[in-house]
Amino acid sequence: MLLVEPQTHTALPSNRAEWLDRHLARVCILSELTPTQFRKAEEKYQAVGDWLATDGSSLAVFAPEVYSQGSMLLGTTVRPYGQSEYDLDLVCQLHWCAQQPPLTIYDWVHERIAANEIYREMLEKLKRCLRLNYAGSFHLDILPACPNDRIGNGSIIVPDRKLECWKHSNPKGFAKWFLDRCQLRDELAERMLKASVEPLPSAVPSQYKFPLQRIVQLMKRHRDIYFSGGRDIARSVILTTLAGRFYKGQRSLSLALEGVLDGIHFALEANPTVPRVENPTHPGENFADTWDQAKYEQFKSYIRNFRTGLKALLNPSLTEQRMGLEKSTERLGHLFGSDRVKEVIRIEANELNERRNSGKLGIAAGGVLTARSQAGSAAVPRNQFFGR
Amino acid sequence: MNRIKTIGIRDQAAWVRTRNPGFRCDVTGGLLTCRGLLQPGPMNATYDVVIEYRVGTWPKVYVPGDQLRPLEPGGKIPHTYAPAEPCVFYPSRSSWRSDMKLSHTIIPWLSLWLTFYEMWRATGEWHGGGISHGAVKELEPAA
Repeated sequence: MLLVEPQTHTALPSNRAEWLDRHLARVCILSELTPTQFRKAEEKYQAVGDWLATDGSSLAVFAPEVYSQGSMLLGTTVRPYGQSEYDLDLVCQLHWCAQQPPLTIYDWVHERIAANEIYREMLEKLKRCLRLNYAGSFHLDILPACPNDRIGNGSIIVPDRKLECWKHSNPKGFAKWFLDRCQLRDELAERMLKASVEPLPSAVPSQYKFPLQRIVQLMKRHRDIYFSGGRDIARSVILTTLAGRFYKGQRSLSLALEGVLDGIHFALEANPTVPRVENPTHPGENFADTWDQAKYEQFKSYIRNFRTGLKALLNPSLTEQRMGLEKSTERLGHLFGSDRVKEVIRIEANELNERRNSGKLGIAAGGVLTARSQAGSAAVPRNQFFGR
Repeated sequence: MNRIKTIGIRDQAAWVRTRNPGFRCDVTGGLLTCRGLLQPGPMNATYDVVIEYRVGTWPKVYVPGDQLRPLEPGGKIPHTYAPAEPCVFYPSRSSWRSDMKLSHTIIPWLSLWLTFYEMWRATGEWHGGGISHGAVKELEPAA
């Protein structure tokens, strides 16, 4: 999964979709965990796992196993709106415990974590999970769980403190479904998002991502902008499920996103009343069980807004085309936040300057800027713009 | 002194037309005027541009009419001599000489300038670098 991103000597985009592919990938890269943050988060959660499982731990007899779930496992992290801290979800799965009352399991895990002086200071009790706050960068939400032996296949049950009951879950099964969907085309070239580029050309290469992972990140980012940070109408799990269901394996990020939004849009338009969004790995579980008609209408308008905006970027009217980059930047800003989009433009300007200064900028017939390596192009000599 | 092999005005016109088949070029009394459409990249607008050049002077570029707009009415567009006249190079013989082809220097520089102009319109910041008029004491005569 972790592959090197393409370099800046690749051709400059020759059409709008290619330009958008690159731009959208950069919006994602600026919104996700950096490789350093990712490694740090992994270290932290492995340390928690060791603390829970080590000899002498009160939980050792249950052979606890800590693994990531949600966006960290799916590769779809997005920094929450207006915050610097990422939510990272972990499962602390015990064994041979399904016969215990749900609250007992929750309390056992809580007790063991609190037995560590450092963790005690950072620990917070939430409805279903225990939260460790790593101030300024992320928090780890640890979900105590027992295997659901009746179903198997990675199924677990998790305590609900409020309802004092067990809830079904299957993060491993869901991730397997999602990552299968990511690889819808089996050729390597089809699977990788060629257009995504590291924010700063000289920095450490970031991760390759599948277009579907980027699509989910973009849907989450637009959700955060559209609902000003509100997440309950368009929960990440709903977005991930719908994106996975309607993705058809396109390689271009912008065209794949358009396809997904078309698919969702038409499915919703065919459903005037509140539909179910079934868990693909646990039929019968409705991810959209909190939707009422009003929330559903808001979800529809979020999809409509996203789709209209993206289509205008891919196929602008003549008037918008005449306004050039300025209009596209404005439209992208409405979708993903204007500060984020301007930051990407800045990165693109730096990249252009780097090509310019290293003799890698070319000009094709007709005056179109391109990579020097492009056949038929002529090198653009260095120049200095003059004037006030 | 290094000898420069000045490119004749008709050869300059031929190069511009070869590289930019859509351009119309005209030589009258030693003055070359080329006019055509330039779209620097897929996201950019298409501009109607004019290049003027006479051997022994600096080439000039124009983006006529109100195609270029300041951020606010009456405001200044960075790196321009006049609202419709971008400065695409620093007028010194180390930047441009008469043995250089307009088609390989002035036109790509104008494409670059237009790219940075649109980024400036989009972000309010000029990312293209350059030298400001104030930083220069005396301009050299054209080669």
